[in-house]
Amino acid sequence: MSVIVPTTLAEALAALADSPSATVVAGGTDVMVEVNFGHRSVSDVVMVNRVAELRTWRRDADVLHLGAGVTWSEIEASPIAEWVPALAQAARTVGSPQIRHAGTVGGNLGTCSPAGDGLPVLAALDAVVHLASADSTRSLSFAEYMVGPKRTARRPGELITGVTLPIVDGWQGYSKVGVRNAMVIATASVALVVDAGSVRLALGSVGPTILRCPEAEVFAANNVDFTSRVASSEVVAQFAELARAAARPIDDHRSTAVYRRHAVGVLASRLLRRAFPNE
Amino acid sequence: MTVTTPAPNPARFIRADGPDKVTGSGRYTADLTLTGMLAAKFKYAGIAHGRITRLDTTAAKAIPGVFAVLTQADVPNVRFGPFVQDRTLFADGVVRFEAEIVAAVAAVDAATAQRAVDAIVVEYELLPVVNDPETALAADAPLVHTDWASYGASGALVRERNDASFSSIAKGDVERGMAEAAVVVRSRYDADGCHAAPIEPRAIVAQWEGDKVTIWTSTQVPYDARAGVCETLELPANRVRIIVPHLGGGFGGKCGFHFEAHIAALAKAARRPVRLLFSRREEFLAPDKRRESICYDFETGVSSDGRIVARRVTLVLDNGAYTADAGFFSQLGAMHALGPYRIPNLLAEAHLAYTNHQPSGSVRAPTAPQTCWALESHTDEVARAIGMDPVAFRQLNAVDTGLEGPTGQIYGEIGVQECIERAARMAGYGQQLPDDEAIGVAIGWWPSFAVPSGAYVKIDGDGSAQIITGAQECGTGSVMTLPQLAADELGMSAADFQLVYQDTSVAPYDMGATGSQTLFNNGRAVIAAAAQIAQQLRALAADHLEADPADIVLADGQAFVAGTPGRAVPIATLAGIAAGGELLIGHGSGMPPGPPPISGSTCVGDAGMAAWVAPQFSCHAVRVKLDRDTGVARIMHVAAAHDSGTIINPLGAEGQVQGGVLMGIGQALTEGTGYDNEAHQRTAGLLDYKLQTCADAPPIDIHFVQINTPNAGPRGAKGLAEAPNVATAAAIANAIAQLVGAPVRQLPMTAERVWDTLQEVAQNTIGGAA
Ligand SMILES: Cc1cc2nc3c(=O)[nH]c(=O)nc-3n(C[C@H](O)[C@H](O)[C@H](O)COP(=O)(O)OP(=O)(O)OC[C@H]3O[C@@H](n4cnc5c(N)ncnc54)[C@H](O)[C@@H]3O)c2cc1C
Repeated sequence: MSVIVPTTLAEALAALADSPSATVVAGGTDVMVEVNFGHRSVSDVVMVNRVAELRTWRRDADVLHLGAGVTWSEIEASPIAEWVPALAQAARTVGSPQIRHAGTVGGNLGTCSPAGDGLPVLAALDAVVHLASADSTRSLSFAEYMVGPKRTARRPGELITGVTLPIVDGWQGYSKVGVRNAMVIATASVALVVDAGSVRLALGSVGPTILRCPEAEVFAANNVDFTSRVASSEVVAQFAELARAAARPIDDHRSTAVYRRHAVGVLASRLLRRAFPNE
Repeated sequence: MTVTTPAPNPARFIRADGPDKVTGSGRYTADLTLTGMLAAKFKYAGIAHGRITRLDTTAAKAIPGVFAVLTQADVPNVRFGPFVQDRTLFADGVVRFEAEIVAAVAAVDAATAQRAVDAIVVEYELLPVVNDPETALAADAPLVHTDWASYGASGALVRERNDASFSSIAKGDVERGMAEAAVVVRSRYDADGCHAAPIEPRAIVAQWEGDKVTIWTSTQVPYDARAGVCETLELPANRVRIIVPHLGGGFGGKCGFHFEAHIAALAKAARRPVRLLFSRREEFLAPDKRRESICYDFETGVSSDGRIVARRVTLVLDNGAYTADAGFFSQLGAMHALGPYRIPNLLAEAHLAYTNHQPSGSVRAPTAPQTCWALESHTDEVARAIGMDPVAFRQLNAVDTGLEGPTGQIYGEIGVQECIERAARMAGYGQQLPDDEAIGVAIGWWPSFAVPSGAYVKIDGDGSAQIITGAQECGTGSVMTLPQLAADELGMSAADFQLVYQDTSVAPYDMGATGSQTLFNNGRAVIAAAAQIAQQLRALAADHLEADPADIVLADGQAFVAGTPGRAVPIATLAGIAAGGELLIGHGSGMPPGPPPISGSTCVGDAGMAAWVAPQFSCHAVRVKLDRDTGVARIMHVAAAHDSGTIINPLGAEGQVQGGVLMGIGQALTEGTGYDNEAHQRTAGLLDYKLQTCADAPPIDIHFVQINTPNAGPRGAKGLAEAPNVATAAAIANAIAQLVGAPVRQLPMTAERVWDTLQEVAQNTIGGAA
């Protein structure tokens, strides 16, 4: 077993080219749990937590570029929190302070659990995921990137370099239901983004991937007043129903499908009401 | 906090083991490394019920680095168990729950030991799984123990097939009482089992020297552990030494005798020291200590003026596959189902049903929080059925000073009524609240356990002192309180004493950190030991100061003549004199207070739980905010009033209440163990078994009703470690029931269950009793 600790992106990509099946470790907050539970056997390791290019973020006009190694504690703080408040809200619900100091947005994307707290926000913002290998780079929409529960379009030898997000003017928010106030996996989660005459809704923990809800989105866009921020209670209720209809939850030992479907509707209606506070 | 009766010494002192634990310099069992030490691993059944048709360890033994592989064939053929001798160290032909130990391995390292475990071949003929305690009691249910009738058992137990302990309490004429009642309310409640979940998973190290074995182990009860090793490996007590380094929490989960004999046997066979370290999963599955699930059928009759006239209640407790210390739980559960109420006519019947689940055992206040939850939810239903305020109903029906409890025990001065009044006031009961908030109230009780206990005290020539005690510190801080008692007896300061504890070969017997008994009994022992030295010091001082020993007062580190403080000698000087003559050594035990008399009730299967020495009372009032759309309950504030007698260290006492309340919130909302169809636990890990975190902790206001209780512990103290865990879940339930419009009949009251009940209320499928 070898552990490679590159400090530049080029070194990291070269290491991965040599050993395409190596385990990439950023904060390790998912990887180490899998190792400790015996769910993952590790041969070679490429640590990416010291790669400067991955640890930085930059803003270009209305686009925010987050390196894959940016941590949740950086995202929950100013200035990122002012630019993408929904992502900051999601960040604040991740684990505990220790986990947020170590855990990264790239790691959340790498694991790509339907319960990953950052993912509904990335989906609702139409984020673009950037991948690189030693000899090429490519960029995928979030929908192209996440293909199933913990399954992504990332190829062996590829590294997630970062994610770009639009900085939008409209209201955005993230909400989750869980069984306690910290260190909790979402039973159901919802991200809502309002942007230039559109409403975008993404559901977490209620399907194999993060689910966008095109019908609910179109319905809302056609039935709310964006300037006076008005939505009638009938519209809010119908929006919740459409969100429920879009959900594809399962029964497991954490919750029932019936409850999960119900809960995403509640969260969706509350977020829509916050975005459009006037009746 | 307000103190009604000032305690003799209400010092708020910080525990002496705190800095070691906080800074990491303290050592736990898992920190020990001995030369040549091997790693132990267990081979578990993995199935809930089956007959072993083949067990072959040849391949495992052949793996290089494996030093010993043991099965039941390699240890004395002893059946053991504190109440029913239904257990063997390793599976004896049949496995009865998923974590039954079939074999144990000692190897050079954990990975090799695991490979050897995997190489052990076991084949089973599957037997029908008994997965539900109620159906287990049916006459035609498959037996968990086909040989149950031939097992040795405590004479008090009434056993029949899968019912390992039947108990009933009867008084008056329950039929007539029900017939005369103005209103009769019937309720059904189901509580899931749950776990102690100590943060330190258990660890054991065993090392032999000649024919003596030393075992370092994370146990709450070193003497029980020793007794278990002696019984199962057929050794005399003086050849087994149990030492407990710092213990990382227990909550009852580390009571009882567990795996010490397995590791000692491995170390003997391997001729090397052996260490066992549990994973979190093993900590969930393997110990004989899971809080028992219980289902309840209540029936209570009340008169038109709101007095309880009759109660009938049936409990079925899940014993699991073996009877650990749960043998007395049927009677204890029956007592909690009757509750601290005045009931002239009653019948409580409780069954302890064998199943193919993990064995049940003492988790903090066994049977009490879940039974208090069921009883107090039922009590609110009864109060509402006759249109009475639940607090007023309790004030009318609860026991009180000089009155008679359900089994006919007459109470001396007790503070239950003041607890109700104080908790209600601290919570602001009766105030106008937002539509999504409510305050629920519940009362609870818990016995003090009076048992033998011993300690030594010595003062060396330099005047520094040691307490050598059999008591075990599991985190409650009780042992840390002992120096204060010795210091007060000797006129010294607590800082003059160092503690030597948790070593069975050094100190006299103590039952351990169990039954809230440490301060209650070991406090008595330490005071008695210190009193012997005080007498020696008085004699020495009388000689030195040419006075009458009866006139010598010990205070502020000095011995002086009463009335003439100028005639004084430092205790250190007297210790120096004693070091050249008769040494300053005291030993103490003292007689434990005897059980109070009871009359008028009859008990079947009497395990001694019907009469309570120094009973403790409590009332918790909890304000809950409910999100009716999702069923998510948030605890806004907890008011906890306790009568635990005199409080000796308020800081430690408050810590106990805060911890008990937080544990109670977990039991109320998130902590529950379900089984799948094959009787495997579904939530055997902290990822899915959700304890409460600091972020969930509400503000907690505490009041102690301090009564200097006779026939109790030192200075009139009762126990305190378990009582705070009794009433919280019940109070939360009563708040939720008001907000939902009906009680949630399953524990824990998860968001889903609350939401399901809300749906039923909305669809009018259940009556809005609340
Ligand atoms: C106690 C605890 C609580 C938690 N609570 C939450 C929670 O509330 N919400 C939540 O969403 N998550 C939670 N998590 C999961 C985890 O913290 C997050 O998913 C986190 O974002 C993972 O980031 P990381 O840097 O630690 O990932 P790592 O563990 O380092 O990696 C995770 C995966 O991503 C891959 N990977 C990492 N970086 C890259 C890269 N640059 N390129 C390609 N692949 C990469 C790794 O190979 C691995 O497969 C929790 C974890 C723990 C241990």
